[in-house]
Amino acid sequence: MSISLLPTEIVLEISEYLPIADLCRLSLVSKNIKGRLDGVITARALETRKYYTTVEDGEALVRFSRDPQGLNLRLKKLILDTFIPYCHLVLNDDEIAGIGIEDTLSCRTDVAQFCYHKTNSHCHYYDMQRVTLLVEVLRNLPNIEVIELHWADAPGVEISRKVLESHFKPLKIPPHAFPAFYELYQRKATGETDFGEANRVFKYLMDAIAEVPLRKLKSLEFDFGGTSDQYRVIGMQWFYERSERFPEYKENLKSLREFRVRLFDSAGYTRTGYDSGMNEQIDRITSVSRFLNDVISQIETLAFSSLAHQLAFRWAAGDNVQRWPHGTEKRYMKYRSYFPGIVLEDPKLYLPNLKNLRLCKQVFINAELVSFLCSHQATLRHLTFKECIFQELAQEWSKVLKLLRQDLHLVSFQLDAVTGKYSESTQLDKPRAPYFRVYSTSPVGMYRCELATPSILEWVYSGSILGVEDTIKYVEMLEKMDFAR
Amino acid sequence: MSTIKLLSSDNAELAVDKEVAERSILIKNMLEDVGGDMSDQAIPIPNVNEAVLRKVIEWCEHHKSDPPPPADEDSDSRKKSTDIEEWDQKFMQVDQEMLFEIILAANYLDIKPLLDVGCKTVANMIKGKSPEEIRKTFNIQNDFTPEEEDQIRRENEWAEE
Repeated sequence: MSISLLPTEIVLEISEYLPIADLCRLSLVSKNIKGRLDGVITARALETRKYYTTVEDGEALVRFSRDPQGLNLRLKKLILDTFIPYCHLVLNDDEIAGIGIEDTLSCRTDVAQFCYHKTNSHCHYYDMQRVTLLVEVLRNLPNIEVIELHWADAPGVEISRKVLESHFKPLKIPPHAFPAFYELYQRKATGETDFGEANRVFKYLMDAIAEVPLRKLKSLEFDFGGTSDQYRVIGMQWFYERSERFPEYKENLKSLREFRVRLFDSAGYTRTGYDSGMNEQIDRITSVSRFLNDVISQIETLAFSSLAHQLAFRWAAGDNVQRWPHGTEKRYMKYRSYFPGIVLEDPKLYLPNLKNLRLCKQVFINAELVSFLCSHQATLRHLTFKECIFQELAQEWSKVLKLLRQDLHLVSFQLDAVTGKYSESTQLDKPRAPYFRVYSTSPVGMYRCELATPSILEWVYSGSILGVEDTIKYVEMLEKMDFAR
Repeated sequence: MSTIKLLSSDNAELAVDKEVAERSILIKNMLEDVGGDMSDQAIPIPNVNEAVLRKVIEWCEHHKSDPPPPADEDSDSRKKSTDIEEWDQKFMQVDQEMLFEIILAANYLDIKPLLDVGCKTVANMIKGKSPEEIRKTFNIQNDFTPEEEDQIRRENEWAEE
C-alpha cells in the first residue's frame, strides 16, 4: 500500500490539510498524484489570492475584483501584505556602497522618489482613496470568507528572492543586489518601531468593512506572522476612535466566526502624566473588549494578544517587569506592575459561542480569570496561554487547576513554554525560559519570583509545548517551592 | 451494556460494546436498519482485516465518550489545523501500511474523526518536504522526465512565494 494507491477521495481529504506550497510539491512526486491534484491546485489558486500593498498589486486587485469572467466570485481568501517599499528606506552612501551598487546616486534618487510615491499617506485624500478602493474591491468579492493582513518582511521572516526582486522592480538597483539590499534593510528595520503602513492598512480595511456587508466572512486575521508575538503592528487606537461606529459593524460582520488579532498600545504619556496616560490606555483596551462583546460576540475562535509598548519598553527595568507608575487608580492596582489585558471584570468579556481561545501576553488575576473561564465552560474546548502572567501566589494556582481538571470540559490546554533563558527585551533571538511568573504578596517587593530555576528549565527543555498533565505537574512543582527566599 | 460481534475479512470474530461500535456510522445505520438486535449474529466487515479492525476498535474505545463533531463544521475551510491530540499521535505511530489501512477502514466504516486523524498524520508527513523527500518517505517512483519536472516547477512557482 502506498499513498499513490489510496482512493482519490482520500488523497483529496489529505490535500485539505496541506497549504498550497506543499500541495504543489506533492504534485511533483508522480504523474499519478499530479493527475489527481491538478483540479485542487487550480481551484485553490483561485480561492486564495495574495496582494502586496503596492500600487501595482492594488491595481491588479481591482482588476481581479472586476473580472469579466467572474473569477472574482470564486475568491474565498484575500491576503493583503504590507510590504517594505513603504517603509523608511533611509540609506546613506556608505551603506549603499557596502552592498555593491555602483550607481549610488541614481539609486538613492530612485529609492527616494519611489518611496515618496508610496508613503505619501499622511494626506487625508490619499487615505480616502485607499478606503474607497477597498470598499470597491470588497463589494465585488461577495464570497469572501477569510481576510488576512500579513507583514511579509517582519523581522525574522524569510522572504524569497523572487518576491524581493519583483517588488523592487521600479528601482534601478541591479537584480543581484536585491537580497543584499534587503538584508541591509532588515537589519535597520529590526531596530525601528515604525510599523505605520500595516496599521494604516488595518484601519483602511476596517473602515471599508463598515461600508460593505460581508455575508460570508468567517475569519479576520490580523495576527501577523513572524518569529514571535513580540511584533505588533496594529494599534488599539482604532477601536477607541471607532467605538461610536461599532453598531455599523455588527450587521456586516455577523457571519464572523474567527478573530485573530495582535495589538499594541503606544500611548505617549510622560513621567508627569501617568494617570491621564494610564486612563487613556485603559479606555483603549476596554474599547477592544466592547468591540468583541458588542460587534462580534458570536465568534467561536479568538486569538488575542496585546502589549502596551511604552510600558514594555520604556519602563522595562533590570528585572524585566513593566512597572505601573505610582498614583494609578486603585481599581487597577491589583495588576501590580502590569498593564491589564482583555480578561477584565469591567467590561466583562463574554462570547457565548467561544470554543477556541488563545491568549498571549495577558495579565491575569485569579478572580477575573476564574470568572471568565467559568462563564465560558459550556462552550470552551481549546485553551492556550502564551506568555501570560498570573498575578497571584503560586498556591492560588490550585483554583485554576481545579477548573482545568473538573469544571472545564477542555479537549486541549496548552501553556506555551519557550525554552531557554528568558529576556523580556527585544532580544528575540536569545533562547527564553517560560514566561511564567508567580508573585508573592510580600510588601518588600511586588514581584519576587521568576520561576525559571535550573531544575524547572531542565524539565521544560524536554518539549516546547506542554500538555494538560505536564502543565499540572509543572504548576504543582511551583506550588511546592519556597517563595519566602 | 450490550455487546455485538464484528466479523473481519479474515474471518476473525471480535466482540465489542455496541456503544463503541456505533462510532462507525456504517455500523450504527446497519444496527438501526435491523432494529438494533444483532446479539447472535456477527456483522461482516469484509474490507477490514483483524489487525486493522482491532486498531480501529481501540480508537473507538478511547473516543467513545467524545462529543459528536459539530454539524455546522465547515468542510470547505482551507485552514484546517493539523494539530493532533497526544493520544491520537501515539495511536498513529504505526508503519505506513497500517496507517493507510486504518485510513481506508475509517473511510469504509464512516468514522470521520478517525479519518481526519489519519489524513492529518499523512499531511504532517508531507508538510515542508521537497518532492524528492516525499518520494523517499512514501517510496514512490519518479515517473516525470527532467523536462516535465522543470515545466511543472515553473508552473508552480507562484505557490512558493
